[in-house]
Amino acid sequence: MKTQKLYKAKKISKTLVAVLMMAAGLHAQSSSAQQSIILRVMELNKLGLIGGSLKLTIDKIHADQFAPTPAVNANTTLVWTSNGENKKITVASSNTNPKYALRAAPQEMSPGAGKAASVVSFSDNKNHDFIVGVNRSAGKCVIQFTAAADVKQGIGIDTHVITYTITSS
Amino acid sequence: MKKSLVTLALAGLSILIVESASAQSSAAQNVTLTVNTVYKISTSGNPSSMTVTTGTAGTDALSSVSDNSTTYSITQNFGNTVKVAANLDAALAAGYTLQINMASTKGTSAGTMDISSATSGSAVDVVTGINRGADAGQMVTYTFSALASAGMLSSTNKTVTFTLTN
Repeated sequence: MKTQKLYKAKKISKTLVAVLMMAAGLHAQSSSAQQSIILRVMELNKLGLIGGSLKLTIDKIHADQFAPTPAVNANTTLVWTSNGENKKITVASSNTNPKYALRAAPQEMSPGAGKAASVVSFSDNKNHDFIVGVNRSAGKCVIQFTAAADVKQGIGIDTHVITYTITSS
Repeated sequence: MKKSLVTLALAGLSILIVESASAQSSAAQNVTLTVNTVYKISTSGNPSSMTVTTGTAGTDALSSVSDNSTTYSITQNFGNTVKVAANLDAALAAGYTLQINMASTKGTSAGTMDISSATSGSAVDVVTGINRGADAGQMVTYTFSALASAGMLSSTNKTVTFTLTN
């Protein structure tokens, strides 16, 4: 009788150990590994032009006017992206002494992507502020060129290479 | 008389044989074999630093960069429902995205997963249904991207933790 009890006790304890072992095996276990990553974003400023070279021809005049009708072209779009702060876009012409008046005005600005500066007249080859307040944004605007001439200036050709630059304010 | 001596000798031999047979003995041992649950995951090292250096004018999303120079290996004997989850030590700021893609032959890769906001409490499953066994040298691909509107990011160290679990 005593032997039987001892046998039962041993059996129960063995079963208990087995159950505990199984439970340990079934319990959520895990292993982990780690990697270290270095992330960086450099300052970058990008400008692009949509629309190629353009030609403005002044060839209309009304009889009652002293000046020919200005030629207007708005087929160029300026696009930009900058992740920097306090940037501006300037514009300059390669023509140091143009015969005829040429103006450029930014229009249809992307909201929040900068602010149009004043209309630029290309009378020299200096940089002029074109768009200011560019802060961490991507934007675009249409550039409207206007060429004007006086009758007294006669006929001729002006050539401009227009350069846009994004720079710190 | 001679016959009696032979009989006696045979009887003596029989006793010796019986004694020899009764000298055999046996012993038993209980051998308990146990294989515990094994989960192991490791990586081959750290990826190269990832730097966003360019973009397209007029587009807020800058050009992303990738790294697939590291691998991971796993061994597990638990079952066929094991998975790998990934998380960062801290979430990335808004406008920066870190994605991960972990190849697998023993399980199912979740594909390219965004772990930018995955922290220890919100790890993202990247491989699921991993079968028992080992899967070594599987490629880990990171893709880092940023928006121009998020600004620059000075060199930032992030720790990615991979957890192999059921």
